[in-house]
Amino acid sequence: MMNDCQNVEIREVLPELAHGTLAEVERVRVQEHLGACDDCAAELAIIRSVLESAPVIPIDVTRIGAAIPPYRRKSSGMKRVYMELAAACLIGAVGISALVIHNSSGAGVGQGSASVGATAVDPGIALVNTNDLSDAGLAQLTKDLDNLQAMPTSDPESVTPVVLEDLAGPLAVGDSA
Amino acid sequence: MEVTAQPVTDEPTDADLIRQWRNGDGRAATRLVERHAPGLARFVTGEGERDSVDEVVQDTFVRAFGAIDSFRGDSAFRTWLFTIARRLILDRRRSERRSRVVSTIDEGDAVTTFDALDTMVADESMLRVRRAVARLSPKQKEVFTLRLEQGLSYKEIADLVGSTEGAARVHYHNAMRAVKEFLDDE
Repeated sequence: MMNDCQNVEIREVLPELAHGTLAEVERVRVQEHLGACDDCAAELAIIRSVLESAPVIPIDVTRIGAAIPPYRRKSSGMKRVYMELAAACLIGAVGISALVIHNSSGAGVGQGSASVGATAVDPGIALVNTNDLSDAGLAQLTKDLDNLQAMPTSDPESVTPVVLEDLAGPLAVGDSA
Repeated sequence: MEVTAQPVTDEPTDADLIRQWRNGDGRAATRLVERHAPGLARFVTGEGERDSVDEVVQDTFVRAFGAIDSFRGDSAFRTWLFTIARRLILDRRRSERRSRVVSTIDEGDAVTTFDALDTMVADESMLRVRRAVARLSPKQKEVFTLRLEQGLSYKEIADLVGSTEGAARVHYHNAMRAVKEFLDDE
């Protein structure tokens, strides 16, 4: 009558013992137990019977080996992620640059022209479609642009003559007084 | 207790051979095939794929080496091969089922080689053991075979058959008890 040994730890590694994959220290310990335990010895005999009677299936190893192509290194997933990230950053930078350029040029056109058919998209941006303007509207826009060009800008070189000219008047009056 | 994935020998490990193959040594791949093809063939046969064992084994190796960069070594190379083979077999069955050549897949397809090869076992005690194993339920038989013939751990078995480590352990011990009872009764 075969029974189950109560030493579960030993029973659990009997297949590894049969396969020869048990570390040396453990192998010695299990074999010592087997010398004193008929139940585990009988279980090991069953395991060995299963192993030894395992069928051998004929396989053409040479043909399979020949069917394996040589190793080809594939680009790593991370490398691809980095490249995609770099591409996204580049597209983003180009987009932001275009928006900044558009804002700085669009803001100048928008000033003073809101009343002449300009389509406001953003407080800082105004798009003018000249095709929609009547002759009078076009004339008004031209006048607005003339006024715009006459306005002082933040460019010190273009501002300086206007300021000096403005200051000359009062000083001259004072001097004469 | 400490166990090793492969028998303790001076032979290069699977990881060594994979590294050598990556470095251009074609013979390393052949050595891996020689090492694992017999076990893989038994596994494929055990899964009920008797007529095209050679083909499935070859396809498994070709796929495995083609996707070697995705093998991270979390499991043993052999277990990885079994996983690929199992998927291949399921794909073949699905495809065959669609063309209505073969009946549906179920647990009973994993009949294992115990059923058909009794006559090849000359030793009487071995024959009795194989008869006992043949009487197990399909799931018990599959787990028992993977544990004993292939030497897989419970975790590897659980990963392979889509179960839990605990369930694999219970199936194995129930199977062992059933085999012992059969041998006692004979």
